[in-house]
Amino acid sequence: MNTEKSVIEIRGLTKHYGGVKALTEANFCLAPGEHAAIVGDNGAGKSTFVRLITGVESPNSGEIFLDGKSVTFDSPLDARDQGVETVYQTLALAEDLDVPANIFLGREKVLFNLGPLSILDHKAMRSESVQMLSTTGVKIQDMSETLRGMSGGQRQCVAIARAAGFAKKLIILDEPTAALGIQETARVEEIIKGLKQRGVPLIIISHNLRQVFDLVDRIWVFRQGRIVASVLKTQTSPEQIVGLITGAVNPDDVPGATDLITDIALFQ
Amino acid sequence: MKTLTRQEWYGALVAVLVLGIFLSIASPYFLNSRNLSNILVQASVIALLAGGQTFVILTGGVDLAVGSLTALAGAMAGYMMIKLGIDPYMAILAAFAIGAGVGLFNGYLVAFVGIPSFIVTLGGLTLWRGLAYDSTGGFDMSGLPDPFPFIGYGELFGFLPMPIVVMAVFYITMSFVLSSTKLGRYVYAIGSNEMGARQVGINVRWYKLGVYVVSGLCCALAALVLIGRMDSSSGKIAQMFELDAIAAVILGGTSLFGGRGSIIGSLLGAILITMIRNGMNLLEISQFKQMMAIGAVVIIAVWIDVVRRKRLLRK
Ligand SMILES: Nc1ncnc2c1ncn2[C@@H]1O[C@H](COP(=O)(O)OP(=O)(O)OP(=O)(O)O)[C@@H](O)[C@H]1O
Ligand SMILES: [Mg+2]
Repeated sequence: MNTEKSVIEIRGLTKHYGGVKALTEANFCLAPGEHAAIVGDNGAGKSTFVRLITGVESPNSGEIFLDGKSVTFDSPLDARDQGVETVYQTLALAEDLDVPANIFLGREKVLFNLGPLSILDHKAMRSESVQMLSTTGVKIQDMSETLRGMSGGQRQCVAIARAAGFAKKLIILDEPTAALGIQETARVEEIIKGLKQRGVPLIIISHNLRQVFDLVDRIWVFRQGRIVASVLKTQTSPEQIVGLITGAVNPDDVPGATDLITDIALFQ
Repeated sequence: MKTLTRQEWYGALVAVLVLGIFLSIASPYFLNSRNLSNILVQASVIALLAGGQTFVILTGGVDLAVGSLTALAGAMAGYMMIKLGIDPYMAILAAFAIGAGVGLFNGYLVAFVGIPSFIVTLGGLTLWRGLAYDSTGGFDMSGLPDPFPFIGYGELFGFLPMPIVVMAVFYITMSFVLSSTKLGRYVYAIGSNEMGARQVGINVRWYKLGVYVVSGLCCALAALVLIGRMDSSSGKIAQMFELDAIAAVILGGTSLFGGRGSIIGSLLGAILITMIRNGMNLLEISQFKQMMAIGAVVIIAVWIDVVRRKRLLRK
């Protein structure tokens, strides 16, 4: 794999908590416009991986490349400033504020910069929010309504629209539909498909294989703190993925499943 | 814009109007411009304290020390002017410095050390009161120099009492700060979802510290108006004012849980409390019964807040 062609490439990422090997020598990449899923059993290291590539924690070793350039993230804010937007499972929305306030939360547009007393540019934030929501395909009737009056699905959509609106490189979604009902899940999935059409690169963590097969191009399988396989959706089946997750299927027996991983390893 | 009936302060507005109509009927002395202006003047000190308190409560905290801090700032300013003969404007500056300093102290302990605001300011309640008595020797100091008579009794354009002017300018400013600055926005964000605010990169600690400084500065301003009104100063002024200030904020529809509320509500709340007191005086209800009534009103207001929050969470 050629680093210049990847939106993000990760080489040998490792994180140990004392004796717990949460993540060992993880190799990963994402092509421009590609949607990838991260799957794996509980405790396989998925969340650890995401925390490392979003600046929440720093790795023991390993490298991250954005568009071919080596980067380090000192904080989630730092990762965000460098173009990696994350929608956390806990959403990071202020329920008592309205939609534009939430979309611009922490990066408000201001008329005058006076530090904490900077004067907000309500109009610009509102009109840009309307635009962001419509590009992402999110419908909100009343922009001045607080999020408290909205359903979980609508909130998730606002969070995704926010990430999509600001993401310069890629979006990471951590189990975006875990807490949603069937209809709301469908809505969120529509939004994700819209991002695919617009060519916004995306990584989704999901336990829902139906959803994974519905949405993404490539599936990365985590097992016991390692990334063991990377397969194109079109070249695998849910049964095979389940086998890779549980260890019933050996990755070496799946044609092409370890190619990308070993390619990246060669660069180290 | 939210419709009128969905504003948090709508309940307080209705209560002010209903009580106003009731008192107009019940007492011949209520509805005249002198009494009404009197109510606003009396409400001003509580309203100033409630303004700062609103910031603190919106972040999910509470400041129980505002009465004592008002006493400290007022007593020190009086002591400096009368006993030490310091220039009144320097004393005014000193009062604000005391307010800001105590605010920093509270804010540091709450935001950086992580002690609950309830504890920090409950300690402060007796700490600052004690310091106010101790440092001024417990004396009453009366006969304040200019500009205090003007702050307390001056009238702008010959008819607008200065305490009302101060209160109006203060509320217009604070309302703008809350609705249209980063500080205001983050106050709501922190009260709604502190974790989330941190995740989007808001410097939660500094902003939390900031609201206690705002509250401290409001105490200093309230102290200056109060000693101006009384034309004297001592460590025992502003007794129990924290209760009225917190009650004003809650009556104004701001949630004790943080995140929801408005500054206008706190103004209405302060006026409402003063009206209740004024009305009971006009109806010659005893001090003891007044204490009971105010306490009951506060409990009912918090009760409404809790029920409303449960209903919102169920949605
Ligand atoms: N802060 C930590 N301290 C110690 N051990 C940790 C820490 N975080 C994660 N681990 C351990 O690292 C391993 C990987 O955890 P991780 O949360 O990444 O798994 P996961 O794939 O996200 O699982 P799930 O599907 O349950 O969310 C687990 O054994 C977990 O107990
Ligand atoms: Mg996880």
